[in-house]
Amino acid sequence: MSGPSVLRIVEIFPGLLGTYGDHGNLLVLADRARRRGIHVETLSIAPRQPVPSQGDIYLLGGGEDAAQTAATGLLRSDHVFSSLVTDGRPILAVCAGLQMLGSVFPGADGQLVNGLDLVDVRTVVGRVRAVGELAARPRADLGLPTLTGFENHRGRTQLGPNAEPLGRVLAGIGNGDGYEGLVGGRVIGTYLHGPVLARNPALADLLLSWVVGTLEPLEQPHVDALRAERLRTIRRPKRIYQRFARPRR
Amino acid sequence: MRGRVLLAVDPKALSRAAAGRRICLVSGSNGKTTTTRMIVEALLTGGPVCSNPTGANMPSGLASALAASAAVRAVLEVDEAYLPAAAQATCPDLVVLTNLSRDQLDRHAEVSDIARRWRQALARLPTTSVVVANADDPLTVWAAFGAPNATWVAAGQMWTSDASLCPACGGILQTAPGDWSCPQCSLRRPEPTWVLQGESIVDPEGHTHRLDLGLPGHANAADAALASAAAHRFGIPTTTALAALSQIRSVQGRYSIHRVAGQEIQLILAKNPASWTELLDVLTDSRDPLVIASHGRGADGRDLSWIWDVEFERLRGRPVAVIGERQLDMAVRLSTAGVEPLLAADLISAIHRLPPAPRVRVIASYTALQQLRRQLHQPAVQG
Repeated sequence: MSGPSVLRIVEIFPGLLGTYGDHGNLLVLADRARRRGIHVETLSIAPRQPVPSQGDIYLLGGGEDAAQTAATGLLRSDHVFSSLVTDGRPILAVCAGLQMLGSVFPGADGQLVNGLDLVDVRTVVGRVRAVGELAARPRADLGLPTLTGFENHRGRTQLGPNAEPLGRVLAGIGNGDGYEGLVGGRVIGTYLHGPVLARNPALADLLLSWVVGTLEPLEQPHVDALRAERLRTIRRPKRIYQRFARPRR
Repeated sequence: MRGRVLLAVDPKALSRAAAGRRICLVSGSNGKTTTTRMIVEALLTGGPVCSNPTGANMPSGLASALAASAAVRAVLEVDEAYLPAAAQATCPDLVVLTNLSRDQLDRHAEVSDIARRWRQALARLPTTSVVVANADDPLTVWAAFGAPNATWVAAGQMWTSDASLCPACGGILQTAPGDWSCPQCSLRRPEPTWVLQGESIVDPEGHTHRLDLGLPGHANAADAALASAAAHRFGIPTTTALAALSQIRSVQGRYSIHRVAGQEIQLILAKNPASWTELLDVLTDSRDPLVIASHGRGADGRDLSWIWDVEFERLRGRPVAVIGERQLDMAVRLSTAGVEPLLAADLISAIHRLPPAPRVRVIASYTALQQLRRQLHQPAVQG
């Protein structure tokens, strides 16, 4: 194991960006690091507190439209935060967190709000709200199993030429064009909550390994059972669909 | 069912059934069933009361409750999303608002959106209507400021994570114990006329009433404060109201005590982070084993992400079993919190596997509680 003697996980504005249990991402990262004997410090940054530069992993969660706009305004004037992305510091950005890192996103009144423009994506408002189980096949080079979570948003996110999707949607809406999330350097953006790292511990380990290097595997029977159960709920309707649809083609 | 037929045949059935009555509507994310029951018990000291005690809190349930009773005074629990429609149809004398917090987000999307719709609806109330509202919840206060008249109750609110932003202007609220204000606009905590202070309620005349409730914890004391203020509007003296509502030992099976496989158990409802946060305070006063029953059906919310907002770390060292259709979500949450849960097939096997204790607390989500009540054939010891 390489990396720092203390792993610092920074949760940005949990009071504004934590609507969908996103605090769980911090709990899961800390738990999985500690089970490997890594000393962990967690920091929750309140609005108007400066974002610290010495964090190892940064977390941005989901929030309501007004909270997303307020958080974007606060981070726009935070010079440390914008340097984190260019420095290649690992950032997990969920839902509203993903949208605000891009160039624009829809605000509370439906008007587009300028984002932080740190990754090459833009988000517009969709016709219907995407609410339900979401599953995605992650990009092969990440070496991750199927991603599972719950989505609840109205954003339709378009990736520019300098961003790659996190994966392809197997069930649900995701970005709205068949892709889900984004990977840009060490920024991972996703519409999956649940929270995402609780249901996808391999993604948690990917973030940790960017800081501390290779990790030994952990026994996690409850998580494996939960993943299998959640993935079964989304696959069942597809089989029914195929059974009826195929003979007609 | 009867109400649904009524409304299908006659969409104005609810307003017709409400006409000529003195209506009190009770709504909020948490505490609406208990507060409704408490107001009913207080009002019963002064004559008959109509209510919807089974929690049928959609317009059809309200119509059906009113159709079944001739009582002039009616106290009706209303689902928070249906409060605007119910207020318009019934022209209530009184609207009691407990609190607003994240609940079933897959259905309601944004809590602030409910507050906005409440505010618009309350602004259209008759000028004689009064809103009784919790002064310690900014979302509820902002909604109630839309009403022609408000009575503020300092009922407290442990869960504050849905009130980071000013609902009026989007500014970041400043909070201190027992106070909150917006630094950007004029919204601030209104001066309450009723105050819950620990185990006592101070009424508008400054008299202190010591609480001796049959239901545990701060959340039920808050409901009692709101119910006392509501009963006062109906002319029931606070001493009389409190004596009546203190007799309540269980509400819709919540807090009811049963015997299962030789073990005494108590059923408790916890359905969102705000109610769990209040409940953890009650639970940590003993080391009794717990059973947590989780479903993810429509009325529970199909998204269980919110369980990660609850500080289950406080249950470390306690024997905990998980049951229900979403037991795996809860098992993952608990093991991350350092609580190693037992996975059990049902309540009886959970009890067999937990160490014996004076009492096992069974904490259930909304539909899990309904299901457990149906399964408990044994009559309740109390409640």
